[in-house]
Amino acid sequence: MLTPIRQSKPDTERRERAGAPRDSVVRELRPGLAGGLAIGAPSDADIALALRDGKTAASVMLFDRHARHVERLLYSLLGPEPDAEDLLHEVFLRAIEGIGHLDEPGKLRSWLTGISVHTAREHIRKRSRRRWLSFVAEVPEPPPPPARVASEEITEATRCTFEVLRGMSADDRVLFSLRFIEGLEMGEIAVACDVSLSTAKRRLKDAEKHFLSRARRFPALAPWIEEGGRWAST
Amino acid sequence: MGEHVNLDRLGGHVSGSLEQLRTRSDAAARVRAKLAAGAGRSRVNSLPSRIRIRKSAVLGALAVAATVLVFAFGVWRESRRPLTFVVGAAAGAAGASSPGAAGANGVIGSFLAAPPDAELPIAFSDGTRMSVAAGARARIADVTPRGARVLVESGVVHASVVHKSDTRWLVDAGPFEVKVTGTRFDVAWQPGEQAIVVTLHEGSVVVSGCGLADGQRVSGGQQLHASCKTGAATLSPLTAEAPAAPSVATPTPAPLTASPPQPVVMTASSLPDAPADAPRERAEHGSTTAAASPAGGAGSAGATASGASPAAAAPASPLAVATAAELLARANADRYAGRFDAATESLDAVRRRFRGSDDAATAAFELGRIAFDGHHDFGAAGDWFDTYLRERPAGALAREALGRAIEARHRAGDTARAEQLATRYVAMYPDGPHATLARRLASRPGATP
Repeated sequence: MLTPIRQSKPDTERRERAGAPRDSVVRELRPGLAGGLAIGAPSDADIALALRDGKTAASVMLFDRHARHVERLLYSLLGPEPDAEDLLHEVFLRAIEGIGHLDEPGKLRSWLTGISVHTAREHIRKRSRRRWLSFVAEVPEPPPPPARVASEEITEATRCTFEVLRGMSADDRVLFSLRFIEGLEMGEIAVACDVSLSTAKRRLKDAEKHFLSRARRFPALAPWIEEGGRWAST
Repeated sequence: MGEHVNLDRLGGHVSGSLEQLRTRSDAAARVRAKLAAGAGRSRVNSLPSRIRIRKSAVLGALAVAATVLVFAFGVWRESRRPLTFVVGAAAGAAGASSPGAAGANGVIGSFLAAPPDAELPIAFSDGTRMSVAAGARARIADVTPRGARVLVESGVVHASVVHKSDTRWLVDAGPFEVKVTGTRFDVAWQPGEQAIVVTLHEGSVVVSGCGLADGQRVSGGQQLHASCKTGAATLSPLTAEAPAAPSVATPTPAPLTASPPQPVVMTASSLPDAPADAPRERAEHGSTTAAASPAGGAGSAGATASGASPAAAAPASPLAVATAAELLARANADRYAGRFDAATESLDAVRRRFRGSDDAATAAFELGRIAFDGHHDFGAAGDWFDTYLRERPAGALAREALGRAIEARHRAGDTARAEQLATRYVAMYPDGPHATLARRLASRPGATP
C-alpha cells in the first residue's frame, strides 16, 4: 500500500533543520521562471493535456512550473555535475515525448520526479560503467568540487558526502539522496523509485548502512556519523 | 536513531550547499531557451552518448576479438604441438597389456622391446594405436604434429593409424619405408633375412626401398612380401583362412617367394618397368588387374607379370573391363569425394591397360594431382607431372602439368629441378597461371637455366 504523495518539506524548513541561518535563504524564483505562471494559470492537468495536443507553448509552461523542482532533485541526486544542464534538458524532453504515458495528468509533478530519478540513476550507472572501463576508455572529467559558497566545513562535508555516494550502488545512492538530501518522505520515495513502501524502507536501511560504513573513512564526516557528535545537539 | 538524526542534519547541510550552487547556475535558463526553440537533444547530451555507445561497442568487439584470438592461438598452438605417446599397459591398446609394466610417457628414440610372451601397446595422442608384438623391438624415432616415424628393429608391429587429411606416418623397417595415410596394418621385419611383410587390413600404404625403389602401393586385403636378399617382391591377397594378423604376428614371416595362394609375383627388377624417372606403376592384386599390359591392349584376363599364373585369374573386376574414359570418370568422381585410394586404383588401371595412350598420360596427370592435393606427397606428384610431360609434351594438360610440377618440386624442396622447370615455363607460357611463381624461381641468383 503506497502512501499518498505529499509535498516535500519547504526549503526554509529544511534549512532550519540543517541549522542554516535564515539570512542565507536563497532567492526562490529567478527572472525568467518567476513570471511564467500567474494566479489562475493552467493546472498541471491542463499543461499535460496541452502537451498531448502538441502545443509547443505547453513545453515552456511545463518547464516554468517544474524546472526548479527537477533541477533541485537532480542536484540532490547527483551533486555538482558537469552534465547538469543536459540532464535537466533530458528530463523535460523525456517528459514531453512521453506525455502520452501519463495516466493521471493531475500527477504531473510526481511523474516528473519519477523521470528525474530514472534519468539520474541511469546517469550514475553510465558513469560507473565508464569508470569501470576507464583502463581503456576515455575517462570523463570528475565533477568539479563545490564552490566555496558555504563554510569550509560544510563544503568539505558536501564533497565527502558525494565521494561516499559515488562508491555506492545507483539504487542505494538514489534512495539515500532522496531521503536525506532531498528530504522526501518514504511514500514519495517509494513512488519515485516505483517500489513498494516496505521495499523502499528496507532498501533505505541498507543504503544508510552502506553510507555509514564508508563515511567512517572521511574525518570531515565524523561529526555527522558519530552519535552524540556536536551536530546532534544543535 | 541518533545516527538517523545526524544524517538528516548532514543531508540538510548538503542540500543547502547544493542549493546555493544551483541558484548560481543559469543552466535552467539555457534549457528553457532550448525548449522554447523546440530544440531536441543537445549535441553535448546526445552525440557523445552515441559515441559512448560506439565506444562500448568497440570495446566489446575488441574484447570478443581478443578472446577469439586467444582461443585461436591456443588451438593453433595445440595443433602445432607434436603428438605424444604412452607406452605400456596404460596405453590400453585393444586390451593388450604388458604384465607388470605400468604405462609411461614415451620418450622419442628410446628402445621399445616387448616381452617374449606379451605385446607392448603404444597409444598416440591423436588416437593412433600401435602394438609391438611379443618378442619384437621398435623405436619411435620422431613425432610431429601430424604423425610419427616408427622404426621396426625386428618382429611385428601392428598399427591402426587415425586418418586425417594431413596425416603423415612412416614406418621404417631396415631399408624399407612404409608411407601411411590412415589405415590398419601390420609390418613384420626380419633383419636376418632382410625381409619385410606388410599386411593391410584397411586403407593403403606405399612401401618403398630396396627393390621397391619407386614405391609399391599395398591396399586393404593385400599382403606384400619383399626381400632385399633375393630381390623378390610378392603382392598377394589375404585369405580368409589365413587372417593377416596371425600371419605376421609371428616374428617369422612366410617365405617371401612362395606366398599363398597363387600370388602375383614381381621381381624387384620388374617393378621399375616404367622409364627410369617415372613414378612406380602400381600392381593390383589378382591376375586380371595386376598385370601391366605393355601394349596398351585390352587388358585381357590372364595377362601376368613375371610368371604370374593364369590359373589364378579371379572374376573380372570393373577395373579390368571398363573403358579408359569410364575409369577416368570414375577416378574423378572418387577424387572429388576424397576417396583417393579408389581414384588411384582406377588411374593405375588406366596406366596399365592403356599404356601409351592419351588416357594413360591423363591418368598420370591425375595421379599427380592426387599425390599433390590428397597426400601432399610433393615428390611423387612431381614425378607424375614429369611423366605426363614426357609422354605428352604438347598435350592438352602440358601447361598445367608443367606449372604444377614446378609447384610440386618447389614444395618438395627440390629447388634445382623447380628452377629448371620454371625457366622452361617462363619461356613457353609467359602469361600462364604459374608464370609469377616461375619467374620468381627462374630469376633467383644461380637458378638452373
